Amino acid sequence: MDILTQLVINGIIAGAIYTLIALGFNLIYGATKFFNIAHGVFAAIGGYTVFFFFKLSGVSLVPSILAGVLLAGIAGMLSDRLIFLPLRRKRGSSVIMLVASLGLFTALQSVIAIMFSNRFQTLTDIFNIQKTYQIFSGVITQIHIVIIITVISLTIGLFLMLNRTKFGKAVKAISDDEEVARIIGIDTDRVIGYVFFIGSAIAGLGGILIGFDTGIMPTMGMGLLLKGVIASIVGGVGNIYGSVCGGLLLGFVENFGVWKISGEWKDAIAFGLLIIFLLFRPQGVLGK
Amino acid sequence: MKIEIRNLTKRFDGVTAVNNLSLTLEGGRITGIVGPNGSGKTTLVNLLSGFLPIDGGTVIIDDTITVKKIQPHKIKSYGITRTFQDIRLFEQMSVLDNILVVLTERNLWCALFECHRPEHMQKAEEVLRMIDLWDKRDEPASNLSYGQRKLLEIGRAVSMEARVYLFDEPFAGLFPGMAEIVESILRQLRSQGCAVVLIEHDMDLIRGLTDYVFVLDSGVLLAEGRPHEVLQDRKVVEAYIGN
Amino acid sequence: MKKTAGIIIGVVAALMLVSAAYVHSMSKKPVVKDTFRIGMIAPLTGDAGFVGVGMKNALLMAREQWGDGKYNYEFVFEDDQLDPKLSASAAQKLLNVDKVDAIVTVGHAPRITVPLARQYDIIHFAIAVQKDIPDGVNNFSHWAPSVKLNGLLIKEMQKRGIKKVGVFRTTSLEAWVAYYNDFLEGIKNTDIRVVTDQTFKKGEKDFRSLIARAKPTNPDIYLIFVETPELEIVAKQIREAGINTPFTTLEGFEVTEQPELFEGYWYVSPVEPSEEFSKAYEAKFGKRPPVCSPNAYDIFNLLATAVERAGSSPSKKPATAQIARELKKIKSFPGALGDLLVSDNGMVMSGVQVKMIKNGKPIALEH
Repeated sequence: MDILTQLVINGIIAGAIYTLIALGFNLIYGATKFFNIAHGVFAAIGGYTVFFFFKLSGVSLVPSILAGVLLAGIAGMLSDRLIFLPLRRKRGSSVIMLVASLGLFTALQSVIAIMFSNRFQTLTDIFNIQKTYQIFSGVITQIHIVIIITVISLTIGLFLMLNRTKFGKAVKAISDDEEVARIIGIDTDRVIGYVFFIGSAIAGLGGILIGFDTGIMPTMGMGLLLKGVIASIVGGVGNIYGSVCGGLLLGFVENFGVWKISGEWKDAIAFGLLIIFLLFRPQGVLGK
Repeated sequence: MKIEIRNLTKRFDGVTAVNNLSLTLEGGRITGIVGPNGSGKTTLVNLLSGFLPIDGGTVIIDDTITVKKIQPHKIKSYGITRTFQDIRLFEQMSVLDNILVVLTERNLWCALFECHRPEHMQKAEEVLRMIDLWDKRDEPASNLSYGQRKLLEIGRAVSMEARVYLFDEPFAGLFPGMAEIVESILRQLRSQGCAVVLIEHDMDLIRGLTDYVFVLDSGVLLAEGRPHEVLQDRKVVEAYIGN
Repeated sequence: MKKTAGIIIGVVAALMLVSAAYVHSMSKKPVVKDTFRIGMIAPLTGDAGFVGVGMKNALLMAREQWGDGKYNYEFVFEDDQLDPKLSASAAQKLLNVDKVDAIVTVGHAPRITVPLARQYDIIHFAIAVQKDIPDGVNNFSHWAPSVKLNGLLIKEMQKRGIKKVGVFRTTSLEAWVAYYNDFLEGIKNTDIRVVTDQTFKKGEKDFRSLIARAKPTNPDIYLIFVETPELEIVAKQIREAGINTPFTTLEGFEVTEQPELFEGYWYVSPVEPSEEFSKAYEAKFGKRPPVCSPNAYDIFNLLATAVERAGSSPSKKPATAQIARELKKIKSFPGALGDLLVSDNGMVMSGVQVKMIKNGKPIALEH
C-alpha cells in the first residue's frame, strides 16, 4: 500500500464526512445568519433513530434510515418553529440565537443519553468488518464509498434545488435580504422552516452514515459540529459549495498532518487551520 | 385604489417619529411626500410596508380592509410594494432572476420545479427592456452600477404589479438618462390608476411630476395640496430654511 | 367504684415504672458501635458505568458477608462518570460533607485523591496501576502491578517469537502511559522492538491515516493500549485496511463488548477472580463480576480486617496510622484475587496471567 494514495483516500473520506455536516449547517446559516449549534444533535437523532428501529426493534434497513432522516428533519423544523422563529420575531440577535441553540443542543443530547444511555453503540450487530475495495494502491470500505456517493449526490441535489427551483430562489432571496424577500411576497417563515427540515435531515443522514462507519454516542454531535463549522468557515460560511471545499481541505490537512506528527495533534491541526483562515482569509476559500 | 391613514403614530424611545398623522393616498396620481431630514417620511413608508410595527392608528385600504398591524409578507396581498433609499437587491441572483423571483406561482409543484410560464418570461423581458437591462440579464446583480441597481430595484417593484407603489428617493444619484426612465415609469403607473408615492428632496422634480404633495415636519402634517401652492406656503419654506 | 379506679391507676403506674426501668436497662446493655465510613468514587453511569456498579455490588456483598463485626461499616457511593472534574468534587464532598474514614477509587479519581488523603489523614485505596500512587501511609493500591503485567506480556512475546511490535495507544489516560513506559523499560534488554508507535487522544474515531503510517512497518503483533470504544474502532479499522496481524493488550479484551473482534488472540491481565467470589457474585447479582469488582471486594476485606485489628474498643474506631500499620502487616490474605500480600509501600500484590478470547469468552492459558 502506497501511503500517499491511502492518505489521499483518507482525506477524501474524512472530507466527505465533514462536508455532510457542513452542507446542512451552511444551508441554515445562509437563510438565518446564525450559528446553529443544535445542528450537531440532529446527526445524533438520525443515528439513534436507526439504532432504535434497526438494531433494537428489528425493522429493516431502508425504512429505518428513512425514519432517521425524517425524524432528524422534523426535529430540526420543530426547533425552528418552537425556538428560533419566536426569537426571530422578537428580533433576537444572532448571539441570542446561538445561545438558544446551544441550550437546545445540550437538552436534546441529554434526552438521547437518558433514553439510550451514554454508551458508545454500533448500528450493526457487531463491529463487523466492512467489505473493502482496492483503489490504486489504497483501500476503501463499502460504507465510505456510500458516504462519498451520498455527499456528491447531496451537493448536486442542493445545487439543483438552489439554482433550478423556485424554492431555491426563495431561499437565495431570504439569504440575501430576508425583509425584502418578505415584501415581494415570500412566506419567509415557511421557507426557513423547510430549510431547517432539509438541513437537519442531511445532518441526520450524516449521523446515520457515521453510525454505520464507526458508531454512535449521544455526545457525537459536538465533535461533528465543530469539524462541520471549521469546514464551513474554511470553505466560506453560508456557501454550499464552500462546505465541500472546506470539508475536503480540512480532511486533507488533518490526514496529511498526522503523517508526519503524532495523532494527538489532529484536533490541534484542525483548529490551527481555522485560526489561519480567520486571521488571513475570514471569508473562506470561496467567500460568500 | 385608495389608502387612508388615520391617526398613525410611531415612537422610538421617547421620540415620536410619526405623530397622529392622517392622510389619504389616491389612485391615479403621483403623491409627493416632502419634508426635512428626520421629518418621518421614510418611517411612514416603513410603517406602510410593515417594516416597523405601528404603535397607534389604522390604515384603511380601498375603504374595505382596516388594519392596525401590517406584516411584511402580507403587503403583497394588499397590493403594496416599495423600494429602498439604500438599494436592496438579491445580490446572489442574476438580473433576470431578481425579476423572476417576484413573478411566481406559489404552489408546491412550482416550488419543486422551476416552472416559469411563458408569460412570466415575457413580463420579465418587458420590464428589463423598459429599464434597459435586458442585455445584462445573466449578470449577477452585484455587478451592476449604482444607477443600474436603482433601476433594477424599481423594475422589481414594477414586476410585482401592485396598486400602491412607495418609492423612497428613486432619483437620488441617477444620471439624467436614467432619471428619465424612472420618470416615465412613474407616469405609466399613474396612468394605470395606481397610487404612486414619491419621497423626494428635489423640489423641481416634485413640481414637475407630482399631482399632490404632503409636507411632513417632525412627524406631523405641515401642509398638503397642489405642489405649486404648497411649496410657496410660508410654513413650508420656514420648515426647510428655518432650521 | 372509687376503690377499683384507685387500684387500676396503681397497677398502671406500677407497670409503667417497671417497663420504664426495663427499657432503660435494655438500652444501656449493648455498647454503641462506632461507624467506619467508606466512600467510593467510580463511574456509575456512562460508558464505564458497569465498572463502578460492579465495585459497588462487590463492596455491599463483602460487607454482608463480613456480618456483625466490631464496627459498623457505612458506604457513600459517588458517580464521577470517569470525568476528573466530577472526581474532584466527589472527593471534596466525601471528605467535607460525609466525613468518610476511607475512600476507594478508580479511573482518574486515584490521582486526585492521593494528596487529599494525606491532607485529611484518611485511608485511600485506589484500584490503579501507577507505581507512585501508593505510599503505605495514607494511600494504598490494589491492582496487578504494571511491571508484573508487562513482565508476563514480554515473556509471552518472547515465547511466541515476536520481535516487531506495532503500538496504538492513547496518551489521554495516565494508566496507559504508565503501562507503556513499563513496557519500554521491560523490552530494553530483549530483542523485541517497537517498530511503530501511534498515539492519539481519547475520543478519536478516525485512525485510518495512523494505520496507513503503521502498515509499512509490518509488525508481528499490534499492541493496543486503549479501552472501549476506541479499542474496537482501532481494531476494526486495522482490519479494514487489509491488515491481518494479531492484536494483544493488557487487560483490554475481556472488557470489550465485541470479543468476536479479538477471537483467538492472547493478552495479559490480572488473575481471574476466585470461583468462590465469582459464584457468590453471580448468584447475588445475576451477572459475572465485571473488572475491578474483585478488587473492591478484597479492599473491603483488607480494610475491615485492618480496622478491627487496630481498634481497641468498639465505641471508638482506630486512627488512620494504626489502620495503615495493620494493613502493611498483612502478608498472606485469602482474597478474591488469590493470595494477597500488602507491600511496605502500600501496594497489594496479586497475580497476573496470560489469557485468550476463545468462543467470545476470556479463558486462562496454562503455562
